[in-house]
Amino acid sequence: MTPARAPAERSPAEPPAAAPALGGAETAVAAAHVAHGRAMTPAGVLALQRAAGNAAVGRLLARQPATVPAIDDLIDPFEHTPEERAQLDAAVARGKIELRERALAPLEGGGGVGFLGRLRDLQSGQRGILLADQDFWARVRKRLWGMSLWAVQLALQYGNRAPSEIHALHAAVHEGNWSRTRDLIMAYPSLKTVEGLRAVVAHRFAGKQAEDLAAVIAEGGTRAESGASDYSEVHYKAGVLKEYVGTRNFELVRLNTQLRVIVRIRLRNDASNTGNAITDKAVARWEDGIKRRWNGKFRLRGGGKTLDVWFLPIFVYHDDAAHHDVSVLPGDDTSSEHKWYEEDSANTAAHEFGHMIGNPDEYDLPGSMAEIPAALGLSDAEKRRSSWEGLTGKPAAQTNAGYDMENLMGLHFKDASVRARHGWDVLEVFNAKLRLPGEAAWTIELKK
Amino acid sequence: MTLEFRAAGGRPPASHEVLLVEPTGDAWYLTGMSWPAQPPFDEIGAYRVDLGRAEAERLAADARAALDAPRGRPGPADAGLELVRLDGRESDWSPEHRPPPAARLVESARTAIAAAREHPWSVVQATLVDPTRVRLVNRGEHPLEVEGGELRAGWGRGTRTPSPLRIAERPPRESPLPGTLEPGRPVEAELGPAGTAEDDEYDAVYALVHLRWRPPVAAEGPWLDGWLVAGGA
Repeated sequence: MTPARAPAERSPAEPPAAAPALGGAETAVAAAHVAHGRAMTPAGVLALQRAAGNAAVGRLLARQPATVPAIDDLIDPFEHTPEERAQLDAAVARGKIELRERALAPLEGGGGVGFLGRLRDLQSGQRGILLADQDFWARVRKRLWGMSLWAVQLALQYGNRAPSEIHALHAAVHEGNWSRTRDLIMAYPSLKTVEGLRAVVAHRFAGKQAEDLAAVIAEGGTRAESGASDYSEVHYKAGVLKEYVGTRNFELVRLNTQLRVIVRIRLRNDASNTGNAITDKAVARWEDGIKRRWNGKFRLRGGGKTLDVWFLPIFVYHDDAAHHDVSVLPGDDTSSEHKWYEEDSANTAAHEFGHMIGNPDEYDLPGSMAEIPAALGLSDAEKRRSSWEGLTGKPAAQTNAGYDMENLMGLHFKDASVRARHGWDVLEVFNAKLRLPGEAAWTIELKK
Repeated sequence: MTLEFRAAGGRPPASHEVLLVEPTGDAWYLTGMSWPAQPPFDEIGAYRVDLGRAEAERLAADARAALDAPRGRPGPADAGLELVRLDGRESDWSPEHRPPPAARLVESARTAIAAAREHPWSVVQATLVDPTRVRLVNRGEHPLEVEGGELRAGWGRGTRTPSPLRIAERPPRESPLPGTLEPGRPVEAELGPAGTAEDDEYDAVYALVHLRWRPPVAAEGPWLDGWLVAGGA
């Protein structure tokens, strides 16, 4: 009987494991150095690879003097003969055909059941192969067109991981909602490269709407994010002057004749809701209110050119990267920038939108900037925007009730119009990030 | 020392509520607009109640806990402010981010306020006579000085008082008030046009009355804004 050996022991007849192999490679390199008296040749490297393995060669090559290889020195260690290459190509072609047939089987033989689901479940590389497969598309187009064809394109482009804006766009196009489709394409530039978008737009929308959407898809423009930042403001409430905060966050798109201000607003049902508070009716009211109160009001002017300022609030539901998150509750109550109620009026939404683009409230204001305690830490600009003196140019007597401006950001039940200063943050971001080389600072004005 | 609890709203017309409690339990509640936290919303004015010493001590204990709690970060101005003062100390917080001790104080204060509202001192109550007229009556025991008078009409759900902010957007009818509302002596006034309902689910007309009133606690005056919402059903 042969006595059992401990696992670490080795029979004298067995070759050594890793250490001798490395030693062999080093020996080979040393031999190569001795033989050639210079850095290793490609043939030497190849021999070494075969003898010692890639890892060992890599370690040794890292110690070699840096040399720039000539074109003849470049080698393919996996080089195939023409016959091998032909076999490989044939195998790849067979694989593509098998993939195509497997993918099309539910459509052509199973009445379409499970077709899209199977496509979405494919691996990314497989979906890419089908996307580029003209034969696949020729057969799909015999059976599907319009929205159905687009669904196949989306399934192949995104699989099961379509971004939320894709779902939103699909819903908008499916509904034939031109305005929503337009807004989404403007708000999410990545949508312009969605497979089949141009074709489905032409299929789903008629005449001028289709032309308009095609133009929006084709338009360029330069974009800049404001970045999220908090601003401070002060107000008299309960007889005392206190600090409050707001958050600005938006994106600008500079076009030839227009500056677009995009604000992606994610609406969520508040955690306390027992039902859905985000109704189509409420969202339509808010969108209409914002566009009515903000659009067609402002113009940027600079160097003999003008840009109309156009605000685009885009309400979304699943975008984690939206500019603002708004919690929505049912009924009527006291709303704020990021907490809305289902029955909030159009003007309330327009007011809260004003905060999102950087505007503080203009009610219950101190009469003068000097009234604002230094301890609150407001900047001079914040003091100007949060005092009667700063907004009117003249200080008013101190009162613990404060002063109100009659405009959208103040007593908007009396006057819901905007002022030029309500575009100051937009102007600031534009001048900082979207001016062309050589352009002086632009100004903002209200359109007559 | 008097305990002060104040709730102030954000965008005008803003909530305005003040609860003042003596250590003996004697308390004033003053409100120029109690929407949305403290129904009924068709009354403004002053209420006087004896809460009792035990209740005053309980409120004071809750107030001290709120005063001792770390302050939260500032909130949005539109959400308003809640504030407490006691023993020369003061603290405030955003109603959107109440620290737990503040939430307990608010709950206690709301209970006390509900008790106070059963005891009108000098208050004006509005009742919708018909979709074009409103009746105002002082249902307290003391005269109430009033001035101004803007009367609006708007729409809401019959089952829930609408936001005064929404009806305030309607055009007002100016209607001078008699100067002093004597207890139990009603006056009627015409409302501005209600227009058409903004929503097909708004099925009831509401009156929104805006006036100025003189509170019986001198330090709170001389004049305060008052907003009453009446109607529905």
